[in-house]
Amino acid sequence: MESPFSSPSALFREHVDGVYNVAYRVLWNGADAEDVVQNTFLTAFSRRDQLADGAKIRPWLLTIAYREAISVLRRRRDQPTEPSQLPVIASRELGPEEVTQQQALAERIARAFRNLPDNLRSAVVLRDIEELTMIDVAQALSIGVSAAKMRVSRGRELLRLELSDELS
Amino acid sequence: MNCDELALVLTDFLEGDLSPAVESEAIEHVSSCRSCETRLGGTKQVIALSSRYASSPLDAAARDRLLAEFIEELG
Repeated sequence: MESPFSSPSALFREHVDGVYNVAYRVLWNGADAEDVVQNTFLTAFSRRDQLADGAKIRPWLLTIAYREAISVLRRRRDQPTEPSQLPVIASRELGPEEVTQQQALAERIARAFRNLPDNLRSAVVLRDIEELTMIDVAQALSIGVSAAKMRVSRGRELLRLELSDELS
Repeated sequence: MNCDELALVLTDFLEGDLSPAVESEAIEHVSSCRSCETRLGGTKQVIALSSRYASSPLDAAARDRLLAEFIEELG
């Protein structure tokens, strides 16, 4: 199997969105999240000998990103300085009213995520947005699998309660 | 299985990590409990909404800029 590090550009392009997303959902600040992106990929290249299984590159990168973001968060325990970036992902062409409705829904979901405690939000982001396995979530958070499941469970439940008006 | 027990195994249920026997108990309870049916359905919707709406992708210009900076840093 070819090393994922053989093409830095390809590696970056394939994983930058996931890395940025994890960083952004921890930090809620685009500039800080971009710094984490750079540090994550540079760290990954400097430690590439530590990656035993090239197939596990994604959870490994997201783990680095999460830890970088947490270290930034601890250094700069400040409030977010910009609103969330809220994509509206359309499966078909939407009319203006539908775009507005979906944007409003995206804002409510982003707010619900933002209201989660950091430790629960990180677990839900890694499992439900980045779709890491629960084992990889546990490794990224340096906790056991049972604890990871508990955090995901509590995070989902808080989201469910906060978004109850949106759920059918 | 009662509601409290269902709550405890809900994540394992969604992960497919329950034994067949316990999974059957969970399904049986949910089929007869409106509250747990709502909870299970709501949790599934939260997962779907999170996946669909909660990502924050970079725009193309920012991605290109970051890539150029990264390649330059790598030397």
